[in-house]
Amino acid sequence: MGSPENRFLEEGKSAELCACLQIIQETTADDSLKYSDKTCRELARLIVCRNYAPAVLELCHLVVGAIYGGSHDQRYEALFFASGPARAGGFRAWFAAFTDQHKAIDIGRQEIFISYADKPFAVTYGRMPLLSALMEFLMTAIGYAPLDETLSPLLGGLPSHKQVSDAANDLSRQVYSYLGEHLPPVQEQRKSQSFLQFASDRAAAELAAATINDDTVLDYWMAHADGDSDDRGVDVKTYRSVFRMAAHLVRVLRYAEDQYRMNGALPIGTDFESGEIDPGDLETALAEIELPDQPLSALHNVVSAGVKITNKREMERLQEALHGEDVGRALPKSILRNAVFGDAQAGLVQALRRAGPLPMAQLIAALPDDDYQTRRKQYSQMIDHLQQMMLASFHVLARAGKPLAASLAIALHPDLDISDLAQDPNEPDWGDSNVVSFHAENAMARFFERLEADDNGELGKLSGTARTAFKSISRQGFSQAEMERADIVEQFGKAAIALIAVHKELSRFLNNHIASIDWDQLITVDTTLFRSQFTTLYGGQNG
Amino acid sequence: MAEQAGTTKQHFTQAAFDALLTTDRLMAGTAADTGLVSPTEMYAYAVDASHQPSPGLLDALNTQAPVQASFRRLLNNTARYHLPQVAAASSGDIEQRESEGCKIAFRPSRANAAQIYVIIECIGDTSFNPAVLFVCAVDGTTNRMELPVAQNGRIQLLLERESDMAKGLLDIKTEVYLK
Repeated sequence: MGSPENRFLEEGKSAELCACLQIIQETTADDSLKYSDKTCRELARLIVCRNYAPAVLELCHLVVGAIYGGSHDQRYEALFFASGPARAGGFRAWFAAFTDQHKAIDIGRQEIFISYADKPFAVTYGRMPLLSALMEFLMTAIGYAPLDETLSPLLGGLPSHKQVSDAANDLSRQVYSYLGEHLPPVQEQRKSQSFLQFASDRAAAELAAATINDDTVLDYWMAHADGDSDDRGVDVKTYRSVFRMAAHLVRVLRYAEDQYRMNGALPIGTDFESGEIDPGDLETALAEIELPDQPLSALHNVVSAGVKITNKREMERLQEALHGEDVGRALPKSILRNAVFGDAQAGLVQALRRAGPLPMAQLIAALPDDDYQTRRKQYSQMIDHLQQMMLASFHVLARAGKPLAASLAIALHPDLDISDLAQDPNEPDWGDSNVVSFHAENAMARFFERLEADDNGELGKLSGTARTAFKSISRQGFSQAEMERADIVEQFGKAAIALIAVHKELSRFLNNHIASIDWDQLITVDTTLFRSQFTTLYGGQNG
Repeated sequence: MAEQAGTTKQHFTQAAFDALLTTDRLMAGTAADTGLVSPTEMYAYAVDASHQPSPGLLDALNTQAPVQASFRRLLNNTARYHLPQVAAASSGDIEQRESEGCKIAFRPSRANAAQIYVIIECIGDTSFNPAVLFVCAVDGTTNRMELPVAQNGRIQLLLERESDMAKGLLDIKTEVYLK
């Protein structure tokens, strides 16, 4: 791995693995992306952490479910490749459509249950999108012929649990062998060495989330960008890449600190001395570290499913502003620098790729196209947009009698007093006893009754505003006919949860993290600095 | 104890940070020029007569041996009828291909010697109307044709004798699949 030739070889090998994942990300079904960003990211994490074996076992059980839980003349491929976009609801519907399952297969509301002679197994619908993506990966990486050969013992009649485990172990060995060829071992990855060292050197004491700040990002980029890549092939030429690296590190360190605070230990396996990390523990940790990305990812999925909560530009604005609370607090200037100068640099690189010789000095002198105040205004406008969307979602969910409407009502009007809904006047007064009399179902029923009856009260007004908001939006998913559809209502439910989280994070970012910064002064200083760095990086090149 | 905790945190930080950067890199790759194809698309091409294949899939099916092997197996598993290679004829063109429940007959056109009639009959299951036909050559390449609706249980095609499809169907070394 040490020599440049070996490095090149490794890059080439990894390129095929990258292509496998890219194919999965780009796969479409019924004119929409088959796999959500979240599912693709989960799959990539399984692979990077080499924690695929448990998922491969589940997948093999799902193959059994597909063969014996579907129609008699269908093979397992139909579940994975002809069931539309890979969503939990889609898989639930696929299984529910059949009535002549093998008696060992039980189709439940949350899972399919397989009663093998030796040991039962259940696969939840929520897990199936990831398992489907894993199937796609196995077919691309290993190939359909060897995959099908390995699965063939499961096809002749309901297998035993042990036979399924044997097939799964066989497949895992093939994945192990494939990754041995295409994914460098963990100890050889060490991509982060240069930035970690830099951040550690800058920290007065121990490296911690709080020791990484906007200066760390900018100074590292200024010092390292002209090197093209760091000592392990990570792109450090673009500010965006360095910012993203810093954001990852803030999150990782915050997670580690939280774990210590809560448990007094980190989940990393048993061999501390050698730094061995348990793959399952690492993958679990990464999933938690990436949790802050989920609301935006969920919104993206809602848009893909036909409810246009955001257009492309609005989603871009949210993605550039929101990186989780910890990053928002630690790197507020970097977030705006990434938005304004990250975009500028990306445009410059694209222009260099597209055109021949360019007047670089002129191009650089015209950058950036945008400034920090403009971006702040756009983020503030996004708050208004999110509120409109929350109101519209409230209208749909309230009309459909969905409890999430109450959550939206409180998010829209934090002062809204609906505490009396918890207490039914006909219920006995429990006085000072410790019994809490709150029947959620009854409270919801009263919430919707109030919504209907109370035209002049707070809820009634909210209802009217929400109706107006909904009617004023002319986007896909917002017509009267569409809001009657159960699938669209379901999407508004998903949107509601994500909107509340996104609105909260963006409000905090605007009000708490960036409000006190003198952006006018900063743009003046930064423009000089970034132009100078761009001139160093690209000024001497003419195409 | 504190020293061990520090080392543990350092190991964890390094590993998690590396894993996130590697995940980013894998997610930001490109599928171009690798010859890999989407399994979902390959499946759709095998079972859905209306599926319009991407140039990438067609190219891979023509040039990539592993993709050809995968596709052939997929056809074996999903096609309704498989007509294997024909036993060597004594002389001249073959007149028909046959497997249990299915027959494909070839008749020269009297009106135009450069054309040939292809008549497909699925006698095993008269309710089955094949929608797509695949001809797989020994070199691994595949030709695909969308079929018209059957009339009285028969599908009749008029092909140019020199077309790839006609040549493939008349070649005793090819295999034919109907879906």
